[in-house]
Amino acid sequence: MTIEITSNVETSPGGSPGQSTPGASPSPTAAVSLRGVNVSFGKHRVVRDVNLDLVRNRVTALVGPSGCGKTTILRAINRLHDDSGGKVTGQVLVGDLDVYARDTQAELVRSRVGMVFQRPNPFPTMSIFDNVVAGLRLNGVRSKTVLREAAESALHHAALWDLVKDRLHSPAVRLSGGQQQRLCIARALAVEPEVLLMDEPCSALDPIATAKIEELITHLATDVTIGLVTHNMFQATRVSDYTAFFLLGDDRATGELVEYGDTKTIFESPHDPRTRAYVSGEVG
Amino acid sequence: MSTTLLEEVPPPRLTPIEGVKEGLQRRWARPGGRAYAVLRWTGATVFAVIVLGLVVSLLASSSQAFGHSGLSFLWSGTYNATKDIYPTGIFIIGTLITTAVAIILAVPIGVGTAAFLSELAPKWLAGPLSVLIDLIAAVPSIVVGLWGLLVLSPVFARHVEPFLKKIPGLEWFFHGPAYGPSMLLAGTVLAVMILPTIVALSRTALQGVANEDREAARALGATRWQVVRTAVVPGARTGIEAAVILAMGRALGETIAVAMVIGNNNALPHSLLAPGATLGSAIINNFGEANPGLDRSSIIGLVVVLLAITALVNVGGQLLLRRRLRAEGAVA
Repeated sequence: MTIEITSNVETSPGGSPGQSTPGASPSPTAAVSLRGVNVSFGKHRVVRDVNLDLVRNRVTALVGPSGCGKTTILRAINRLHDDSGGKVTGQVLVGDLDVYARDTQAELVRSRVGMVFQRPNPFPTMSIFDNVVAGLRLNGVRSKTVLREAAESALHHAALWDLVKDRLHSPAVRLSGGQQQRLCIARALAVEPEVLLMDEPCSALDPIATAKIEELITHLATDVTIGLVTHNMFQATRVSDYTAFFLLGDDRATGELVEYGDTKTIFESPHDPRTRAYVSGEVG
Repeated sequence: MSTTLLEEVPPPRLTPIEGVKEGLQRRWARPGGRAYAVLRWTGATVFAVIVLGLVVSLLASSSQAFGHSGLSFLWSGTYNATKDIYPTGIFIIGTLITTAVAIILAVPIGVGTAAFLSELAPKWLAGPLSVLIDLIAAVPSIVVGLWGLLVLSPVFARHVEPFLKKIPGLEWFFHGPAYGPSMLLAGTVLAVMILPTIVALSRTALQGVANEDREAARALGATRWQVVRTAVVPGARTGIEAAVILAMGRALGETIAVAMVIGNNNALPHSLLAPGATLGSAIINNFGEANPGLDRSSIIGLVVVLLAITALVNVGGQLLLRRRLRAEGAVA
């Protein structure tokens, strides 16, 4: 664990580890950095002024009560708001790619930032194999050898290979929920993204399937930067290196980042009294 | 202890008939259950009587023709003293060809339009546009037929058909004089008529695709077009196929518009540019003047054949769809 950036820093008024002003270049250890990010739908500002880094090859958990903008912020990173009418202001950087720059294409961002959703969503008409290589095919990869190798590697990474290697061409929907979710992880990994966004990936799964996904998340973080939205405090402590705590602001309508730091600090000795109240279970 | 508890109440053993009887009695005794049962049985009976009555009366009226020619009626029809033979086989071929032309033209355009309306078009455009398309469905077929004859036919004779004849490699489909009224024109008019069905039903199927599937594709870096192609259209495949089957039923049975633009020639068409006839057009052209007896009986024989074909297409299509759904695990 990189020590120099683990000291937790309060983000409200502006800044994350090593940063003092919004809009400055990100710290070299950040795979994703958000500076002064606001997301609104119509007139309603859902989340405001978020300054947050996802540290490279680490798991950052986004926690907080429902409706405080965790998922909204996550979806701002790969521009998923483009198609649902959300407006994002501020700066989002993925590596050195300015996500919302005028000449940045959303498709390019999304091919570098994978995503896993709340409910397992394999393409229902496709086989297991076709699901895993769907992203590669979308990017124009046609070579059968390349596709097969990528599928095997991604399924290995998602700890699914041994289970499905003999039925790669059977429908993906025949898998159990937890297996489908791991398939979705494999599908996201197959395009070799730098960042993997996970939006409550275990919320539709039973405890055993959840444990498997959590184990997987810890393994994956050696190769890929993970942003994980979760409602489950225990999950955050189990799998994440850093934690960002979100809460509705004083207007009770707009979410904001209350505190960010390494997970141990956030859960054991948070600076902000609101964080302390939440992680100790007093509110929420 | 617990075992005795379990053994205390043995389930009453009923024969299957007793079981059904008991179920019926229980449902009959429930308030409202009686009204519902009466309604249900009346509805089912009325439909069964209508369909059975139709089939029986048609079979009875055509029995003379089938008795005269036997199964060869299905190809060569019955000899008719005052007019030509009704060549059933040629009508069947005409029906199948015009329907095929209609489907080939209408499915890509219809599904494409549906995808545009459901996925790409802004709301202010999608609403009015789909109303407009639904309006086509409301146009009486005689009006579509007239439009085909007065507007489309000259355009086909002067521009479309001569152009098609020049395409290398397709001479087998397009040769002979360009009259205007032809199998091709009939198929095109049919395509216009089935388009609203395909668009409306495909659009519903496309909109039924879960948003999660769209986002799955989007999150992998799919462009809008790729999202439609990889996630939306495959997800709606079964619904689109159902739309095509329904549209096919309409195209097979359409009569008056086809009769107006097909040229009504009782000969085997040598190309899509040749005039021809379908079961529907032959029935409407000949029924009014048919003499009672064998003549009329053979025309009703054509009706029976048409009914059998549409029923086959619908039942076959439904079976196909059901098998598809089962393969996808949607139906147990």
